[in-house]
Amino acid sequence: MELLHNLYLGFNVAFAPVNLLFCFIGVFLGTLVGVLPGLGPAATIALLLPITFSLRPETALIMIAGIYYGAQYGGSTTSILVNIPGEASSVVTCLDGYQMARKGRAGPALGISAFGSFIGGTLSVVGLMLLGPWLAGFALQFGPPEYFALMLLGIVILTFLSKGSMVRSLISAVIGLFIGTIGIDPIYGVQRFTYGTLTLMDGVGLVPVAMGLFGIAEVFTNLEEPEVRDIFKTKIKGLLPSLKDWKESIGPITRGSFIGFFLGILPGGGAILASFTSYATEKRLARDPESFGKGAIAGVAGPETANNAATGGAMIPLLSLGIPSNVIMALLIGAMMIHGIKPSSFLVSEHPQIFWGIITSMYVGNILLLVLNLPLIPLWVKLLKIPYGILFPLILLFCLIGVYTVNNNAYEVLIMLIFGVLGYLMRKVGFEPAPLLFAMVIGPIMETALRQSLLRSRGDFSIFFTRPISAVLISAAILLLLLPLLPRVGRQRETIVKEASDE
Amino acid sequence: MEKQRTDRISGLIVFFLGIAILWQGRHLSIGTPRAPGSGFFPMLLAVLLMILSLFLVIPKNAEERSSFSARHLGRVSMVFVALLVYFAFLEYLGFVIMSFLLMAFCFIRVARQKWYFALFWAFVSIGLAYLLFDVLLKSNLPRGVFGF
Repeated sequence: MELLHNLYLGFNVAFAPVNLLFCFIGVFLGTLVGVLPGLGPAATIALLLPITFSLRPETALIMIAGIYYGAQYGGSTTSILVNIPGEASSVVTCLDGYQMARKGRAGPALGISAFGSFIGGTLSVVGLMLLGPWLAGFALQFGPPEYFALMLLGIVILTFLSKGSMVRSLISAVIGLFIGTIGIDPIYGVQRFTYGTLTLMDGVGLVPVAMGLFGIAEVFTNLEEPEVRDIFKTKIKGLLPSLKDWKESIGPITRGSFIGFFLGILPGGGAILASFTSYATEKRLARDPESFGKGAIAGVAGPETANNAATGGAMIPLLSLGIPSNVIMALLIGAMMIHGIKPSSFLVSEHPQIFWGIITSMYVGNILLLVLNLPLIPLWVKLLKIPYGILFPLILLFCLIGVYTVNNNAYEVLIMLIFGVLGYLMRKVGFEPAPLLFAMVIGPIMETALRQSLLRSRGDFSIFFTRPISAVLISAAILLLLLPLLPRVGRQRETIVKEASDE
Repeated sequence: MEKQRTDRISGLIVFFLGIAILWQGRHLSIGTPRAPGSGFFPMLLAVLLMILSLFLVIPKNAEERSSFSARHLGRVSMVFVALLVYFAFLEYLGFVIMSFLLMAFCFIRVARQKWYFALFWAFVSIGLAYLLFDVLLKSNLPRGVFGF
């Protein structure tokens, strides 16, 4: 009964005209940037953060969530048509999706990925609705040691899954944690590394760092690439999958929903891991595994469902524990804090309209995406033909405006440029920027949790191992850190991340 | 650049970053484990960075290394310098003029479009951006000495 009441509350929020409008804007923009190479969801959300200042918090968060799952939709379109994954999580879709397109079956490939995404997205929202409040209740037992352990595990999982060497990703994360300490010490109020400048007093801003690392640095990286984009030149017809297609896809879609949802919950895990696992599962279960890589529809349906189902799973740690599970969720936390909402396990009880509003808006958003995307596919294909030379000055312009308007501070433009160069150089030498941003956001929470734990235990580090939940989490983190040292696991991890790095 | 050298250099940079953090934070109190001070966490991170950097500096098997190669570095540095100039004169000349110049520069020099095409699209994009952000969203974009 309570669930029905909550759903009613949520739908009241989601169906408010202004929220519907921004949900639409969110999924539309999300699909757009998912399609466009060189502008990902992280940069887009950073870009739009300033616009959300004047909105009500639930409206802002509904739009940002829309960008996130919308981008997963858009990413698959380019995978299938151009063999370029718009997002890392659509890398595996290239394998069979592009082959389907080459055989003249681009329509059903796009169709099944849209339907699969819809089903996966919707089922994961149901899961989020059932599991979220329960986990939030469970999280009330969490003290500072558990929070510290959970965030440590998040960082380790994220670095484990990052492409390239784990040491480099860990370095990236530690630098992020350090950047998070710049500003005023959360416990004693002492200024740290600010050099007396007002700009750094509040800490290094999330928006300039995110836009630098993901907007400006992407532009720099793309400027190096020669302009070749081979767009598939057949007419796309018959988006609706046939009955036979459905028969072959229904199993992968069902399994993909579960795989995606549960892997999405893992902090640091999410869509990439989900799509790979789903592909591997389907290949193993298939009657004719040889057909995979040659245009098997199951190889499109499974991963595309899984990466969208993961978006629902990823919301769980955020909404029920206040902990981000990936960079996008870290930006969502940033947005919440800008609106004066402290993400924590009290979110459900303190701001039910936000918790249930976001969840129900995701149902609405998934329907909007389905309705929006099937007819708009030809438009997205046209967009792919815009040369990068025209596109990149516009991306720069948006970054410059976005970063300036946060605080009307020109120095933040400089910070963005610095992080732009840093992000570019990091990419060149194989450091992933995502762990840096992620760690920077959770840094202050993690530091506070660590210091509070030590205060509570009177300086005894064993507090992290004597409390059961924290002991399990820390052990898992240590295990993951040591795993790549085993040659077999190390090699397997390398293969997965290497495939993912061909985006 | 050779792979192993890239790793050594990035390892050394990370190592010195650790030292720099230790040095710059020397006046922050570390406190005791019982009552960790403001410098506790940054110092911990600095030490971690230095330890991790060692993994990059020591040589290892060839597959794990990364390499630094630069193609079209000219285009990248051109855009970067243009952005620095943009930052330097933003508050003096204002958003409209600086953005127009930046757009036109990118379209003409980097994207190699015809000048009339470039000026037209620079004009349109800045006009739309100004309308959206300054007029509609009232974002207070910087006005220069000319008042716009």
